[in-house]
This record gives sequence, C-alpha cells and structure tokens, in this order.
Amino acid sequence: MRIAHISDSHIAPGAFRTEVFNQIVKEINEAPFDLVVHTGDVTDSGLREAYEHAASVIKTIRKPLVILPGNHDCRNVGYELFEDYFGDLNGVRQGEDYVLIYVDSSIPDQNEGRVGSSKFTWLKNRLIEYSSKKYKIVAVHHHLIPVPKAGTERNVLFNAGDLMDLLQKYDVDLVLSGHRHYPNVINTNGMVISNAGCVSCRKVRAGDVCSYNDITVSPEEITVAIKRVRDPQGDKTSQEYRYSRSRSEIFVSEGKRLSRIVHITGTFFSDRKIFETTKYENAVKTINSLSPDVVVHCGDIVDKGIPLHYELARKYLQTIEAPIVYTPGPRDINYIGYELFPRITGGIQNFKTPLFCIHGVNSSQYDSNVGSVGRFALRNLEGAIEEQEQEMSIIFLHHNVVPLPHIREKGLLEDAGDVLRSLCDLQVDLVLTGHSSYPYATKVGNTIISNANAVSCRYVRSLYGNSFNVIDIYENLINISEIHSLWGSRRILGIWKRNSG
Amino acid sequence: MNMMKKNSLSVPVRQYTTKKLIGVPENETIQNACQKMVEFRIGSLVVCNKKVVGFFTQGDIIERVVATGLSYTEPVSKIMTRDLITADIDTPVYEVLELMQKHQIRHMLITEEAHITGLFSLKDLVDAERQFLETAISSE
Repeated sequence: MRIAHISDSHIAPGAFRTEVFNQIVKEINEAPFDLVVHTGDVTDSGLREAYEHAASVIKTIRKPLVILPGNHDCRNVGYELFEDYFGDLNGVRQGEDYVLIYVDSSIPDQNEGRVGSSKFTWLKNRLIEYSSKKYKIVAVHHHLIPVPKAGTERNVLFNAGDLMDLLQKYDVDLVLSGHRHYPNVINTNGMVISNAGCVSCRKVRAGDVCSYNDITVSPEEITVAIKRVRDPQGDKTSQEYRYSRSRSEIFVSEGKRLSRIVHITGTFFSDRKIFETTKYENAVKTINSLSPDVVVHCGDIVDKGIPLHYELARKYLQTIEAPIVYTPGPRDINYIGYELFPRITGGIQNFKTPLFCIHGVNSSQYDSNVGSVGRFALRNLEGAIEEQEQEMSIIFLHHNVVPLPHIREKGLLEDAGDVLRSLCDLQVDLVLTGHSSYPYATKVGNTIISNANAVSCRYVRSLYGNSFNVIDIYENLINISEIHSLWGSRRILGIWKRNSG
Repeated sequence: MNMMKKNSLSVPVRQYTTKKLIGVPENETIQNACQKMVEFRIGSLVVCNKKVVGFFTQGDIIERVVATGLSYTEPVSKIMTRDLITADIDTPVYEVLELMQKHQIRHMLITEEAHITGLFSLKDLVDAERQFLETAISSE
C-alpha cells in the first residue's frame, strides 16, 4: 500500500504557498497512491472563512483522503467547525489489509498536545478491535518523538511516552505526525515514525523547503521517502528510509559476555526520609555481587546540593566497589551543589575500556528542571565520538532524550530533537539517562536508550518499586535488565543485536 | 472463569507477549543451555534449527535431567519438547490461560502468521503484582 503523508498546509493568506501545494497535489494525483493522510493544521486560524478557503483548496486532492485536526485548526474553537468541512475528529479507516486509526491531539488554544484518558481508552479499544490487521497505522498531529531543527522542544504530546508504549504493545507499524514543520523519519523498536514537514506553509525551519512523505508499506518492509519541492518547476531532493517490518527476534547468543555496566540514578542521599537507606544498602550488595566494570550514575545523587547531603554521598558511595562515573541532575547543582559536585565526585568524567568509551554529558542547569545539552556542547560531543578509538560509544546524561511512560514531557531536554538525531546519525550504541524515576529501555534507530529508575528515593513512578539497570554486552547482543533495589529480583527490559557485534 | 475476570483478560495476548526469544541450537549441551538460563535469569529456552524446533523449561531440566540422572553433556535435543503447544498472537488472554491450564504448562509459545514469534509466561502477568507486594512489605 502506498500513502502520501502531508501535513501543516496552513492554508491562509500570507503563510500558504499555492504554487507548491498545487505541484504536490498534481504529483499525488498522478501517482498510484492508495491513501492521502493530512496530519493537521490544514488551516492557520480555525476561523470559518479559513475552513471555507481550505475546503476549496483541499478538494483538488483526488484520492481517498483522511484529514485530522491540528492545534491551528482548533484555534478560536475551530474544532466545532472541523467536522462540517473535513469529517470526524477521531476515527478509523480500514481496508482489507490495513487499519488507520486517527486521533485528535489538540488542546483548545494551546500549541501543546494531549491524548486525554477517554480518548486514550478509545484508542486502546480500537487497537484491540483491529489487532489482527496486517498493517496497523496511527495518525496524530503532535509528534511522539523529538524532532530535530525544532528550536526549543516544548510542544511534544504531554503523554507521548504512554502513547508510544501503547502503540508498541499492539505492534503498530507506522505512526504519522506533523506539527514541527520539519520532516523526520525514525524507527523505534520496529515502529516507524513518519513526521511530515510543511506541505505548503512558508514557515519552514533551518532554511528547509516544503515537502511530503511518500510511504510504501509491504509485508517485508516500510519505506518512507521525504520528497522535498524546491520550486514550481520540480527541483526536488529526496531522502529515503527503509525498515524491515520484522519485530520478533530469536537471540541465539554464541559469544561470551564482554562487559557489564551498572546504570543507577536517584540515590537522593539526604537526612530526610526521602532517602531509603535499606534500599540503597541492599542495592549496593547486589551491585558488588554483579562485579560490573563500571557504575554510571546519571544524577540526582543528593536530595539538595548542600554540604550535609554531599557528606552523606561521600560516605555511602564509597561502599560501591567498582569505579563510578557521574553526571549531575538539577538537584546536585542547586544551592552550592555546583561547587560540591566536582569536589565529591571528581566532576563529569569519561570512562574508557578497550571495548567502549563512555562520554559524560552535563544536561542540568542551575535552579532549573529543564534540561539542555546546548549547541556548543553537542558539537564538542560529536567531535569526541568521531575521534574515539573504541568500537562502542556510550553517552550518559541526566535528562531524557525520548518521552517515557507515566511522565509528562517536562523531563525532556529542550534540545532533545537535535541531540537524538545527532546520536542516532553517529550510530552511538548506548545512551544512558536518569530523569523521571522510571525504568525503561528502547531502541531508536540503531541507538539503544536506557533510563534508570531511582535506586533509593522514596518517590517512585514505577509499580515495581525502586531499581537500577544492569547492561550486559555480549559479542553479538546487548541485554538490559532492571534489578529491584531491595530484593535483587530481575526483569529484562530489552535485548537487541549489537551494531558491530 | 467468571465474567469479570473474562472481561479484564479479554485483550489479545499480544499485549503481554515477549517478542524477543532467547534460544540455543539443537546440539547445545544441557549444561551450556542451563548456563544461558542462569546468565539471563530466564526460566525457558527455545531450541532453534533455522526455525523453532523445540522448547524446554527449568521444570523439564529437573524432571528429565536431574531426576533421571541424564548426563549434562547430552544435547538439548534429547530433553526438549517437540510437540509445541502454541496460540495465535490475537487470542484473548483468558483463552490462552485456559489452554495453559488444560495442558498444565506455565509458558505458551505465541505464533503470528503460523510462525513462532514470541512467548507468554504466567510470570509476565504476575510480575508487576509480585514486585508491588515486595515493595509494600518492605516499607521502612
């Protein structure tokens, strides 16, 4: 099946480029597309005259068409007009082999998105109902995963992590989104995410041009080609991404274990009850019995950046036998933590073995929970990764680079899209993060991402309780497991083939 | 199974299926296979010869190796179950549980388009609850 994925037309005087829209529509009408999906922001204002204008322009598309609302369409209570002009806000389109479920993620008069609890349940029920369809596609205006060239990344769906988790549990093949005005295609654990750029809006980013995504879904693979339109004469550049549709894997491990990394965060050393001593002490017993090559602490070492809490940190951390590398969380540098962190931990350091280089990155800012790597630091990091001699590159930082279940997007880096794209393009093997106290592991592109739960903080978001991650690297695979702080019980979070294994 | 339970377990087993299986070749020794179970802390292994040809669990090791005195250097093909009991990935969880009950097994191989692609175990279903209880009784 072949889908033309367009988005963000912003049909309105000023923003709309008529000649580009007409050219793309001509191309779509002439090619054998089975379906056209417009992932929202059809209009710029949501006003009645905007809808009338947009409807007259959109009807030039002579293919089966699904349109969903974006945040601009819902401005000025435009969501009440959307159905009169373009159909249901939420719905299902199905063919013999496929189902497309589309969801309205807009919040009136806000740029941010949300799939609220009732709609989330509706979506889950549709995924159950159409579970046996060969190709499962979900469309939603707001992007699920940070998009590069987005400037400050603050408009991701509030519950993007929950949505990603749900869609992956039901083996959704393809997710279609827009919103960010920059095309991006990425594979997360076998689910392909297609973000379309602007089909006809002048508000493109980083000097880009208008584009649409040409998607082919077959039993073996999903192909997404970003088709850019440079001018009305059709001077185009196309980028193509191909992904295998196979999601299940059997791992017949033949090689021995090469290395073991323990990944912890959220020790929260404190004189308050927020720090749970027994959990920390038991976790250390387990960590020492696992004999890791290195322990990576992704921050929130102390409750507050004050001398008393850092003295407790010094006392407790010396009970871990393996070498430890640290990056600070926001708590670690508040008050006078910015002075104490390097004194007690030695500062952010890299760790090298013949197999890998672990690069420490600071993402925390003084007196702010918002994370940022920054353009300057990202460029330095890219250089360091390219220059390293070891075959595996590993990055660790405090803030999340992808949305996690049960967490609103607040834990994300404000430049997460650029950081994620850069690390994926550089084929970084592992990214370790620590914000949000939720154990999680996933793969984005060829990069495995591990987030650790708080090891000994009273406040956790995981039903499983406090834990830390252990990462075992074999000749041909990487296995990430979560280990319960108190009891030492173990649960596999994910197994993947190694890039260079 | 009462209606309430049936409703809450009516979702496809897909949601609880582990789609990444750990396997050994047919000629792997029983001891090496057991070491793999210990390394990954898992209770079962699939046996592969290009595709899945067999399956065995910790229980099978006790029953067919330890209790009978079979040498640990024998290949896993000697102890694996060849008649595989499977369920399609879109089967409701309660139907899979009924099948497991009928066959008295705690692991079910899951198929998609007639190929074995995953594993469902009772442990997956109760893990969350078990760890939640562990946390509850450990409150300091």
